[in-house]
Amino acid sequence: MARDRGSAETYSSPVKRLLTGLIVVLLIGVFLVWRIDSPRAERLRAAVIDAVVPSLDWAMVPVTKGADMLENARSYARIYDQNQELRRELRQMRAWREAALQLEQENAKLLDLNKVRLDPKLTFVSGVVLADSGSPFRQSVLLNVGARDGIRDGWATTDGLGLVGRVSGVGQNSARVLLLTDPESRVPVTIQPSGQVAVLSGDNSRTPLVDFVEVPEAVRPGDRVISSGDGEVFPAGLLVGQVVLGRDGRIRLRLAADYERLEFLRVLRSSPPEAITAPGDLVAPSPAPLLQPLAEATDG
Amino acid sequence: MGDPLVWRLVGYRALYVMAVLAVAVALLLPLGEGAGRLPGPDVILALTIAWAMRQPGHVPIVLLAVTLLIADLLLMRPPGLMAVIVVLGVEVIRAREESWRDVQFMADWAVAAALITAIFVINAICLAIFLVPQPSLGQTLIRLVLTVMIYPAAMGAVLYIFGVRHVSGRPGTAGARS
Repeated sequence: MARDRGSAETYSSPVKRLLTGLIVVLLIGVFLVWRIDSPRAERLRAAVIDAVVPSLDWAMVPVTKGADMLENARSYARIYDQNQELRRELRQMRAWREAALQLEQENAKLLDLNKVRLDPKLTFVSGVVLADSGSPFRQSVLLNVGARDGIRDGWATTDGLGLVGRVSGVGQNSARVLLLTDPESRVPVTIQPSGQVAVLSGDNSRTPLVDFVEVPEAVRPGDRVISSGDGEVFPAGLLVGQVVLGRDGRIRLRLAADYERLEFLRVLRSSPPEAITAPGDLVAPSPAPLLQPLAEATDG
Repeated sequence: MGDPLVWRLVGYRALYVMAVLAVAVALLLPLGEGAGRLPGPDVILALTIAWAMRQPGHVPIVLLAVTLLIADLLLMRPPGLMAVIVVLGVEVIRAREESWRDVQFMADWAVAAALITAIFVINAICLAIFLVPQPSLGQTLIRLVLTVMIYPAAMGAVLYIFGVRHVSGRPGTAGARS
């Protein structure tokens, strides 16, 4: 503080100096509170953003739409090529669709034969992207669904194609989704053919890093990567992307989700799997004494 | 202190807050992916320094602190840290208010560049002390250089878009008497 003054007799009356000191102490206090009790401070931040950003929607939507239209207008220049390309792709897709339908029927039959029940709890809430993180060093988006819609912290988010991120910070009407590219994002994943477990860690680049791979030799570019469900972070089996070899020679991931156009996102409702607290109970000799107290408890 | 002058001052202060919030909202617009791109300049910082160099009376400390704290909260930065450093930086400008009265623009720019660099360095040091994860050195340097480069544009905006003029009255009686 003292070094900031110099020859400042003209400016600083004691009252002003006191005010300056007070404000500096207050701001440092805010920072320290954030550093010490980050979740609570982040909840405060979520509340502030929740109050400000959705109410600025009227100003942001026209600008966003305008920019999108400009982007689209630029693509008119090569609309013929694009059309041809789309036709070609459509033909391929038709073939795939046929194959998918047949597989679906076959799958349904097999599931029926095996009496498999899919998890009925995996439903989703769709939200519209309201805003970016606003900082070049943080990667997150704000959705227009929040606690009011039953969104909870930690739920997985996809864009229909692949995993996008996880909910981190929920306001009444908005929820922040931490993208997989954020430097603080860590997601347990499985690399498909080799079945190895790894951690997907964002590092503010387009292609997040696949870390802690046990046998890197067994991983090839092009391998599919899905979420593993370890640590109860995410439901297992969501497509995340494909392995690519980074320019620095490390194993990286090309994300399946279309990060260029995040407009509508699905937040997957997931309830934590039933916890098994007492390992001994599982191998108990007879189930009858176990069920007895439970029945009493529900009666009473 | 006639009424028109007071209203004018209030108007300029409101204009500053609106400008900072407009920049923040522009940054929040969801226009595609941000990862892997060059970090842009810190427009809010450049604008604040430019405004304070021309007319410190328009950015009183309480207003500055509140505005920057809100900007910190909106832009997912560590809340309060950047705000306190910029507030102190503006106090440095304010304390030497008369020195900037009649300097050439190049000298003005040099002072601002030194101040912006100091703000970035102190910010990085604080983040390192408190073990907050921070972006790589290269990215921070790019952001610093871009912020210094954009300072003339910020000054142009302050002078010609917002119409702020040099201090010509006594310091402390904050009012644009052009």
